[in-house]
Amino acid sequence: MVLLSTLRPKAQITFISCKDEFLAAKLADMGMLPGSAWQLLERTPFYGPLVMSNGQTHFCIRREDASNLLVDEK
Amino acid sequence: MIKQALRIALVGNPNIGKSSLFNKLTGLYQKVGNFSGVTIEKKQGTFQHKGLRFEIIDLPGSYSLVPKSPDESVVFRQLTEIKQKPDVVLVVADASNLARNLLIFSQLADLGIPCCLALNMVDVAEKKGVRVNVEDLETRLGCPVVAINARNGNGIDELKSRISEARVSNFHLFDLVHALEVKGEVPFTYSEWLDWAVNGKRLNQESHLLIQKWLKDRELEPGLAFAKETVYRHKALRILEERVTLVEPKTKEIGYRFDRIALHPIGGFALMIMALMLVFEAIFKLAEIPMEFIEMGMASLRSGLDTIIPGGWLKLMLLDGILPGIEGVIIFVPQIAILFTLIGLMEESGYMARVMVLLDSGMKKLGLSGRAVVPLVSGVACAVPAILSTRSMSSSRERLIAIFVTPMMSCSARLPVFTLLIAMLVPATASWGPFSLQGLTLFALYLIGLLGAVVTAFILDRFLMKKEKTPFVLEIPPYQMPHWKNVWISVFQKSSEFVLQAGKIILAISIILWFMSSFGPGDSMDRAEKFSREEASVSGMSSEETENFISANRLEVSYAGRAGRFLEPAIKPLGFDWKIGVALITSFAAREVFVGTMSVLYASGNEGEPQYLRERMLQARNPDTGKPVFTSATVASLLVFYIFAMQCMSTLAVSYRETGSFKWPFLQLIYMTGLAFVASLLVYQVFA
Repeated sequence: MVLLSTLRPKAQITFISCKDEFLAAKLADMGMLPGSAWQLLERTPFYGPLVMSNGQTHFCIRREDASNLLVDEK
Repeated sequence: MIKQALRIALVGNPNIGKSSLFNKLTGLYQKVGNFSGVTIEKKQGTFQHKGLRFEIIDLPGSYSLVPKSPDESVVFRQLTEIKQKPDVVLVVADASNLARNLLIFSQLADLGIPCCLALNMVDVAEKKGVRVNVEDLETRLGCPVVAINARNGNGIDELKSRISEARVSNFHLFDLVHALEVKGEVPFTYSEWLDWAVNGKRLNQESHLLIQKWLKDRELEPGLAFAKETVYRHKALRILEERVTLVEPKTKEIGYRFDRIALHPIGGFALMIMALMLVFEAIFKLAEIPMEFIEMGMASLRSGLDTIIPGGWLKLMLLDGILPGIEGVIIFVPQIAILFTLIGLMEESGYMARVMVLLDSGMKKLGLSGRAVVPLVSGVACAVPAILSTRSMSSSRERLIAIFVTPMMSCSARLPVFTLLIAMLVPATASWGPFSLQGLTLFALYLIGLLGAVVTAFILDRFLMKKEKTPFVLEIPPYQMPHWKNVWISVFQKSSEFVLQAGKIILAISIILWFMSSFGPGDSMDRAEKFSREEASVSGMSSEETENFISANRLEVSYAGRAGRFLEPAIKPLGFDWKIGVALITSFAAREVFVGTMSVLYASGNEGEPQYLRERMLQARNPDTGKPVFTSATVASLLVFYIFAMQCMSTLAVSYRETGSFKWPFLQLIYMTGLAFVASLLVYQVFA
């Protein structure tokens, strides 16, 4: 298991858990559930947000928030 | 005969075409207001179909019924409070992302609210390889499901016919998800659970104790219980999605290819700067012809009225007071409409979301997030809706900073002032490469406003406000061709709102100003006229020179002149004379009144259009020194003053409503006026 914020673009991941309860609830609303598969598409410039996709939903998450997310890299 | 209207609430995730559907259903039969008690924009409309009348309300985009931001709270209240509850909820869902979009539907089903599902973007889903069996979905949900395309109108007639068939869905998940969790029945209803956990309502003693015991037995907090419930709902919805959809995997994703450029470290920023520069260039270039038409139309109206209306104070008030003031606003409608159109296109195409992503890291350093791009960019149009748009921010600290700095963005009300003054400072023919120098100057003024907002946000973040951590997660919609009807409706609503709001103030101020500049205490006006006539006769002035001399001296002793004279010592170091002082006082209510005021103060005859006003202002001489009143330094100083000054009562009012305290609007007023004064002083003293 690794932190999402440490991964490189194009990494295929499985979302495991989130340390922040509010963030976890928000991500769940958007369809990012434990066990779901995602791809890290971009790391935007100047330490900007990470862009994630599961093929249906694209969203961005700030890197410091992404450091709350534990994922498995495929 | 039309029966009593069926009240419909339009609900769905953000960016799924809810507004397009609302516009398709209601056309122009819609009005914009606020939800009671809060200032989130509320769009309501009506339509009729087969003898039935429908009232529809477009609720803010929401992923779930359990609120996580202020505008999601509005959705929750609107759907759960008995007084506001609609008869029917029309849920809009993206056909290519069914499970996620049905989360809120499943919550409404558990609440027992009659629903109808509009399955939008079926064609886009098919391009992505997702085919939904609509009949099967309808059977499983137990309420009407209609496939639509909100952009081209396909399926809208069927939807109108079937809304009245809406019923409570039998797709109940609340008992199921908690049964999965606790292996047993849930001893309370979903409505009781939401009332208790979200609303903090006191239920009857029995229900209250049941919920508390239920949570305690499972070592759950309400927040964690909601999170678990969401996960279970999604699992059940995924199963439903798999059963009603046929997926043919396609490798290429539609609508995101352009992100390679738009989010590129160099290309993305270059593209963003180019797009913004084009916006400002378009404001000047595209508006030229319609502005000329308005000028000609107003000139004809004026000369027509001049011949029709008999002489007297009413005619003078109309021609010298009201018309010049109104002209000063109407003439700028084309520029304002172009600005709103271009902002609308950026939002509709999905590009605005990319700008938010690109700018988030910079915004973070100011205590803001990428979401603040919407109020800041909207602030370029008008600070009032821009401040309202901060409601989607979940962090109160971030909201407060955004509310404080948004009025520093140069709004459309400043545009008439800027264009008038830029035209006095920069020749129309001057250019730099393909760009006109006037357009570039306008761009620079907007950048100075932005810089002021950035520095202020930085100060607030570092020194004045307690730190708070709020996550930034933002859905990025696919790129799509802008839907012109949506853009036009928005431009029409916002432009007419601008004209009506500004028009009301300007009409009142123009009449007051005309009175103040036409009358003075006692017989001072008559004495000034008599004295001027004698002076003119001694000096041998022509009849035209005599009339101008009389007008100037009458104005000076009028009430307006006295008010300006009172203010003059304070503003003289900025290069401003008493006439500018009068305009500063009157434009305190709304910046655009500056142009109307100058039109009245400098209109001695029949004309008041900007070009003519600009010439009269440039010709104006200081009677004491004989030097021009509007030197380059004075014009530059005025421009800088209007970049920073808080000359807008509506903004102060909305700041008060949004912050719930007089403290913040008062601080805004003091800070921005002080900054404007100091910046103007520096500019004038350096360049004079």
